[in-house]
Amino acid sequence: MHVKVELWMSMGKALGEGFQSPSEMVSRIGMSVEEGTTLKKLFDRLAEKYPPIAGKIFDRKKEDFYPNLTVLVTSEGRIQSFLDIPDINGRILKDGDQIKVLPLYAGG
Amino acid sequence: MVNLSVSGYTGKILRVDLSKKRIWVEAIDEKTAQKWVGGVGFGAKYLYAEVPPGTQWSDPGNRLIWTTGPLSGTGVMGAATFNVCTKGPMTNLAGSSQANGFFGAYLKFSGFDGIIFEGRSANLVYLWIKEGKAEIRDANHLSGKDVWEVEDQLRKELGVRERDVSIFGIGPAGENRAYFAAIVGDRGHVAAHNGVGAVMGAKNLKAVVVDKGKRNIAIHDPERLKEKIKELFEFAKNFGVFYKWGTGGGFSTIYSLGSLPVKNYTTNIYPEHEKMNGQYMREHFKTRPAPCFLCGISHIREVTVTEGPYTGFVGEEPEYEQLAAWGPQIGNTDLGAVVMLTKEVDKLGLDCNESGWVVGWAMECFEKGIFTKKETDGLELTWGNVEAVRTLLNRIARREGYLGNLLANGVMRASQKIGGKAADWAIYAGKGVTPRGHDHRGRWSELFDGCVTNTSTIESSSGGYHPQLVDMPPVTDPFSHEEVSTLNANFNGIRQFDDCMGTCRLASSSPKLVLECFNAVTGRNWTLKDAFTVGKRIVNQLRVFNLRHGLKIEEERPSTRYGSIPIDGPTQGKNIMEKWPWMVENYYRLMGWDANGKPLPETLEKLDLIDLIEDLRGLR
Repeated sequence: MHVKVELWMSMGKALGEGFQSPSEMVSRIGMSVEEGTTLKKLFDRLAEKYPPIAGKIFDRKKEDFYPNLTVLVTSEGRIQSFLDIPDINGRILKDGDQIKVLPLYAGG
Repeated sequence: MVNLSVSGYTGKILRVDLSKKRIWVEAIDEKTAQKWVGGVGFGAKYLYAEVPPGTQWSDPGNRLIWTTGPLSGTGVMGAATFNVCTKGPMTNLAGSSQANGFFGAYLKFSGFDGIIFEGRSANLVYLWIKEGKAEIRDANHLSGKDVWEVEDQLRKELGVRERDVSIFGIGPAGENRAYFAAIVGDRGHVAAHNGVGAVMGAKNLKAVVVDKGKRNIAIHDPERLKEKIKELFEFAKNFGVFYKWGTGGGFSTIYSLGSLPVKNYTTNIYPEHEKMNGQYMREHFKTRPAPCFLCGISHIREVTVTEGPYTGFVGEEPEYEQLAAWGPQIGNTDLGAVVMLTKEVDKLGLDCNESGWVVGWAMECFEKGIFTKKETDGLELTWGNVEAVRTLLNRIARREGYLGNLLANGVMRASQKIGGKAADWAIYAGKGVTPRGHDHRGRWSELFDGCVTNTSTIESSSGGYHPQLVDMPPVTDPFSHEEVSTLNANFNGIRQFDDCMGTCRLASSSPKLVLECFNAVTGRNWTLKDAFTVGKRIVNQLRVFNLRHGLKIEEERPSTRYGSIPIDGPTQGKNIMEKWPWMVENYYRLMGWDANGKPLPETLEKLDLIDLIEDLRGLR
């Protein structure tokens, strides 16, 4: 099963290997995950490999996203789930899901 | 005159009767400061007391109320915001709008917490304020000039440098009473909503100039304030993307959320967004900081275009709403053209939001054959034709030609006049309220807020709701009819308290820390509950004002297009209208209003608005 992760967190090239960062603002990665993977499991895995994600997006100690983030899951370009503080245990990912992490206050 | 003993205020309001060319000073008493705090609170108090039902927005009897807040000029970052409150033409109901820059701080340093204009001058005038005194001066030589020219001319005449004074005024749009004329100053700061610039034009008031002043503002606990300012700065730096990329930094994330307006809401697909956002601008164009008064966040910059047909053009960096209006909403993909149109709309003194809706609607009408070159007087009004847009904006501001005059009354009135299918394509909230520059079909909180508001713009929300900032449970589903309607009511109040402070919401993004600054300045010991009470008092005062001035609750709904279902993009298929009547009914109930949207006597009593109970009797 394949999912895509898109981080609008101004992390740029700090993430390094695996991520594509066409600009400092956005970083993207495609990943293969097992059936039944939750958002929590996915981000725990990412945070383990990428320290900037552990420092800014997912707190591994608390097993939770940091506050003041918006996390949304889209499928075929449409928003399926939109969570300021995600129900990370409840959300099981599906093939083709795209997960976007945005700053809470998105401007304007 | 009794001196107000609470720190953070000058205790004086400058009164200006433009008909009689009379100026006097009025004291603010303790009770007023306690009950209404400042900013929009003072505006709501004076507007209600002095503008009786039957007064039209353009009547000399209407008031134009400019007020600062207790934090203006205290050293809180960017705290130079002032609030404008009046009865405005877009809704012919109450309107409240804020502008940043320097004015709020300079006015207090010159000895006043606010200015109230009444009457109508026989000739065009400006007001000059210095060292506790004010003078009405002739401005006939400024007639027809844009806001930049007015600033240049007045500084030259007064022999002052750029930051020696703060100047806010109107351009051709205000003089010609375009319904969405704004008040613009300090090189691109704008009080935009509900045609406050048209009210200024109706009073024949071209500009207000205030000297930077010399007075200190008394602060109850300077050490505590210093500490809280530091905390507020750290919070704001890390809240969102403003510090690094300006409000344009949110452009692409707003696209991800399905909230970017594209071609008058006919689609939500705009793949060019990554070349139109704040980061692209700061990395590819030349920019330099142009901060507001004492602001370390400094999200505003001057920009020089370095790519495309407008290379070399210098203007203010477009904020998110200008990027949305002059990019996707009109089908444009050239960022340099956005800089050009941003400066144009500000110079003319127009609200960029309504300008975007009205131009986008006219473009759709042109595409679909409702307007031809006959109606446009030769303009090829195709999507993305930015030079045609520039010409059209100038015609609107001067009410020139058939289309310029039609569109100058705003998109609601223009579309109603044209009628037929075109009437369904206009984007507005039913009372005539202009939505801010998003596709709110992807931000339900703001769509709902804009329809039930009493301020003529967002009242409860601010970029959606963030209830965790005031210790409430966070949003779980922003597309839940139940959650949106309930949160709109529960969260309502704190943002109006914000608008009493004289601070900028971007530099002061934590309501709790703003409250702590307020307590440090004034010596009060208010809680969040107290702040909510003040905010809800303002909302209810304006609600009763609006009801007495003809508010129709059946108009508290979006226009057909504004409330339509997106056909593509991230929010495809989401339908806020499915439960609209229930949402309104639930909201009224939670606000303590009856089924007709009238505040119940017990609600008004609880908010110390007992006098309003009698005023409401007899209204349906």
